[in-house]
Amino acid sequence: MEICFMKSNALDTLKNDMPQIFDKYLTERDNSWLVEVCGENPFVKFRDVPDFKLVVPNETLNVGEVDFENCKRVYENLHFLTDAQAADERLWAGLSHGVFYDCVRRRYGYDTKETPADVDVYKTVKEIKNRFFLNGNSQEALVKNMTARCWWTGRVFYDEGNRNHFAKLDLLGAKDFYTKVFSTLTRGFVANPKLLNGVVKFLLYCRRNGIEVNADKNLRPALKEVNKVGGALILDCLTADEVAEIMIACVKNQPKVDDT
Amino acid sequence: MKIDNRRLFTYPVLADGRDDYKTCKFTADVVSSFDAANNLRLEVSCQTNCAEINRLIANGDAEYLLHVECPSTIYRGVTARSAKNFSCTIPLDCVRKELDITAFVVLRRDVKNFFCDDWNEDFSGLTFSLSKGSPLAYRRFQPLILPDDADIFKNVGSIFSVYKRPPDAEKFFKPNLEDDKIKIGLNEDDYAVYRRHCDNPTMQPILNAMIILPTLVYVFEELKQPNAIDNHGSKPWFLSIKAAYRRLNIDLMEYLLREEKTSLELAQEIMNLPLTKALESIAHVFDAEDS
Repeated sequence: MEICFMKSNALDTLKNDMPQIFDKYLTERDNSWLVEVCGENPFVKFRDVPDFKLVVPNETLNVGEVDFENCKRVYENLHFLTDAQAADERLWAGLSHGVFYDCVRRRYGYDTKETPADVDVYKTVKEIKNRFFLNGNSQEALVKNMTARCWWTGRVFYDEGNRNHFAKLDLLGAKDFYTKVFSTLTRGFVANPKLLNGVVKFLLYCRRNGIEVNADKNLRPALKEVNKVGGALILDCLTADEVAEIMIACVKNQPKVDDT
Repeated sequence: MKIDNRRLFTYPVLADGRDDYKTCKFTADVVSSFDAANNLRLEVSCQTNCAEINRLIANGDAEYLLHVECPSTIYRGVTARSAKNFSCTIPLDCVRKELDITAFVVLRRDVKNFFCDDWNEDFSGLTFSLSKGSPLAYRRFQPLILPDDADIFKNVGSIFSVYKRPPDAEKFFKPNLEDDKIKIGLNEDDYAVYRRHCDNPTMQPILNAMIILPTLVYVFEELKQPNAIDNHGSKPWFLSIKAAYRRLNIDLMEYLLREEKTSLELAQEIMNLPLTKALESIAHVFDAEDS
């Protein structure tokens, strides 16, 4: 399978013309329209990789489960990317408009939209820019683009030393996956592997104590506590255990989240 | 991590623009350079004339710390030392566009009764009990702008071409430097195995260490010969290697003539630790087979 990045001028054309062309993303089942809009083939070959497919939502898989599974597939198959390459908009725009065009559309239900007439243009344009491009220059942009999110989540949670490379990600769990990933990856401190391990120890504590990890009820509040401590201390000086302690203290007195 | 003078601390912190200390200063400088192995090197020098902070550092209660963060990639690194001058190395393939850099003096352990007679009157008569990780002094630098790597998606192996040698040729593999690319001839059997695996990303680092690394050693040995420029100076493969070093502000021929590094070291340097990458790939292959 050939993976391509997008030419800079094609990228600029698509983003600039988005208010006029956004309906293509909703109506066009394949990406052949890009050549006409961009006036040229917008892709440049990066390299060949072994074939792999992403899963899409269906009767048995919800979007959280789809994202969870795709994190593993994308990172496992594209782990050769450097961080610098994986922060380049041209790559994710290339993949989102190229080999994964159909998957991104189906992940966001664009394949089921009847007509573009009933959509909120401003909102849809913004969503497409987030989902098919890297909109902005922050870590949030890496999380909002579907394929970039899969890679970066895999990258951050990947455990080279563990036979199950995604054991840490398994602790996070598929339920409410996007919100949990967004809450975690947009905290700057998780970029330090030692501090991320503190988060993982917290997840392990929750697993062992029958506490369901829920973005709103315990994960985000616990991460906020760590951030608060970071207002007074240099978090990087803490050990993983100390980070975990801060998070565990936050949930210890909370009632368990009902599974049902 | 963005720390600035608007951040409120419950105790005196020494930094430019804060008036918690009357006369003491904390100065820090960072000098950046690039090495041939595609790393950013930061040389850090810190200094304070605060006797109390210096005493804490000397006792091992505090240390200097350089905090580096890249907003574009999810990169965050810290280097902590008790020495005033130290360096840290950041692989350029981990960072992009710009880096936020801050130098600190931080506590390594909890400290009780922290006091300094240079504090502003607001703190007169007070002492503080501070936790590990508390910053005592800091300097935030202007973001370090990184050079834009236009070739970020370029296939680094493109100056090499692997080909099949005739059946009657000797069995050894043999580099040939006479063409536009560095040509590497493999015997028929080796070539068949190579073709089977060369497009597999997991196998590439292993093949690079087996084939490209020794070839580059041969290339650098050749380039150290007296007539190297006459023989190879205009060839595209040579110009590519030269350009790679120029981007690092290194004159390749001068670098070779200084003979500070062996050809094996040079080859590992320009390939950015090929053995490590190959061994990681081998581990990856076997881990995958075990699971």
